[in-house]
Amino acid sequence: MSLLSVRGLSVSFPVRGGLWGRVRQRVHAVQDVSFDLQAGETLSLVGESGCGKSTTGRAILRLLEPDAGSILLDGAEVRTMEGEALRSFRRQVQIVFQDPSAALNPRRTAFQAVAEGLIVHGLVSRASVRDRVREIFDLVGLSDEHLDRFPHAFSGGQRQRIGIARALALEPRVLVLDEPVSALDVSVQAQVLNLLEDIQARTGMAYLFIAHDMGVVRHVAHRLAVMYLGRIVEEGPAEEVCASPRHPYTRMLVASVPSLGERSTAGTVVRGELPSPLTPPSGCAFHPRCPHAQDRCRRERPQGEVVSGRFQACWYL
Amino acid sequence: MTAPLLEVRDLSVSFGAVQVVDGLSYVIERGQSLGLVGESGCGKSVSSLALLGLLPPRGCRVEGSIRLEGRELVGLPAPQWMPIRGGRIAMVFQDPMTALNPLLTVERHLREVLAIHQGLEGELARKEATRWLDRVGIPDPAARLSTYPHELSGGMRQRVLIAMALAGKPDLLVADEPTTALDVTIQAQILDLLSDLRRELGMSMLFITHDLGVVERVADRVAVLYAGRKVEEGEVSEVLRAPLHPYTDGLVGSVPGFRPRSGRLRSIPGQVPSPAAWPGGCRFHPRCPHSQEDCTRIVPTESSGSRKVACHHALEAQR
Repeated sequence: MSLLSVRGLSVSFPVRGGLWGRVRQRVHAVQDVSFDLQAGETLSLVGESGCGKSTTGRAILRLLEPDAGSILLDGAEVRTMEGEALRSFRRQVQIVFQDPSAALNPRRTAFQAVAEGLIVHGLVSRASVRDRVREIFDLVGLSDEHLDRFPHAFSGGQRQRIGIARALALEPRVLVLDEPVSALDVSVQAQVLNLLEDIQARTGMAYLFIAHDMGVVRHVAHRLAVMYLGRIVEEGPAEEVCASPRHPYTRMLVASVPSLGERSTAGTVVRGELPSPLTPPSGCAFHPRCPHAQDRCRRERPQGEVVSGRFQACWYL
Repeated sequence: MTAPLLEVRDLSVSFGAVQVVDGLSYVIERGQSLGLVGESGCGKSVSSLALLGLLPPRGCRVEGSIRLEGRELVGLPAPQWMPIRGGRIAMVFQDPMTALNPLLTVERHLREVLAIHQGLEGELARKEATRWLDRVGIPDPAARLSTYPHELSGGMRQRVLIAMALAGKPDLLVADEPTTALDVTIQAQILDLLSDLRRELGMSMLFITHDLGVVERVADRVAVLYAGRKVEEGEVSEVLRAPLHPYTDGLVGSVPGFRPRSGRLRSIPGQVPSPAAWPGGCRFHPRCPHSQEDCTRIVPTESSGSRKVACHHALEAQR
């Protein structure tokens, strides 16, 4: 049994308009997304803006209400959890947000930010909270002197460490990382990625790593799922997918990364732009940008199949 | 010997008591592309604003020399900037939304440039504007003339901005992180477009970025900046393959996926220092794995030749 299992997840948002703000239509941000995450594993959801990767992460944490699908933690349905079960779920699944400045309350110290979860979940006695926070700070490379400082006194990289410390404090089993390094300078980015790697090696925590940067993804992920307009188009072992991408969109994505895709995707033409999710193309959503698109791609959406250990949703592979 | 297209010598920029660029020198020859690389706060954007005389006259002091074909630009009075800015040196900014006027159509944006720098009006200007939109890969250019910035995607806005910059037929294009705000597949398209146009028009380019992968794609030479100073300069392939300065080396090792997966990333310890608290001696010494006693006291001077490095203990000897 997988630690976290997502089946047929769909999330849509209302689009309101007119004088009374009536719901005019719905934009389908995530459609029929399924994947499994094992303990000690990093699965990366990768794609460009608007592909639904962050929405998927938020739906898993029950920060958004999905339209359909099921989210299972140790085989237990998360969507119907209440009371004590829900509290326990919230402790076991934590999130680190992209922008560490926006994710921290400017009027609460670093200590308060990290201690709150410990106190709410009753994990330590009030008397020992400070010692526990100290330990966690040590783990993420912050020192005692940082405890009583406010967020504005920290650099971006340090703020992200506080965000990670806050999530780790509850000793979660699944950590959703939503673009945790994209707001950081390159040299600091490497520090945070190394830190995350160390923590995983020590605790066996599972990471759902949401990112747009194929370079970062290739480095951190064991497996990766490529999303395009709300659906997974390819999934498999990270190194394999990066080294020999199959789906035309993955090929385009790899070819786009300077210095990454030189060999495997030579000659791949990067063209077109993301269509509006309000008016998604018929059939395969990628067909207007796809160099191999044929009639069938315009008419029917490929359901996807698993071929030699890799999921791929394309008619012509 | 004719003067190089652009020669920057000992350029320093300070805001009040805080110096943000310290003695920066570089040369851009005709048709050449130079990448200016560094992390936030290294002075890469400020130094390039100086090239266009875009720094505020009050509270900001620019020292040193910037010569365009031998003509000094530092201290040039405002009216004389007009034909240079946009006509000789043009700029493409990072955020295409804030760089365009939301109240003006694409046509008005382009016609302003064409009127000032090419003296084109009326139907002729309209034709030329359409031609430039077509040139930067905007589909159905004639119809796009009447659209407003908000009707365009980020990638299309950046294309309009590039068309505006090129419409003045500049000799030097300054591109300040032009693809940072864009999705990766769009970034790849814009980088290819800039490289193609540069080759076709024989233009020079100063490309400012924090992304080493991007530099490799668009630049011939690269200058690496750290804390307001240049630490290394040379041909892109040489600098990235065999960095001489420990900072460049750390930067190259920090980028995931830049080299094939090889265990841990070689991160650089510590933080990028703020301009108000730059360390003495070599400014990189508190974060440098090879730092020795002299690094804390003496500012390293730059080596001469086409491959330059400013370090007391450059990595060359250790290879």
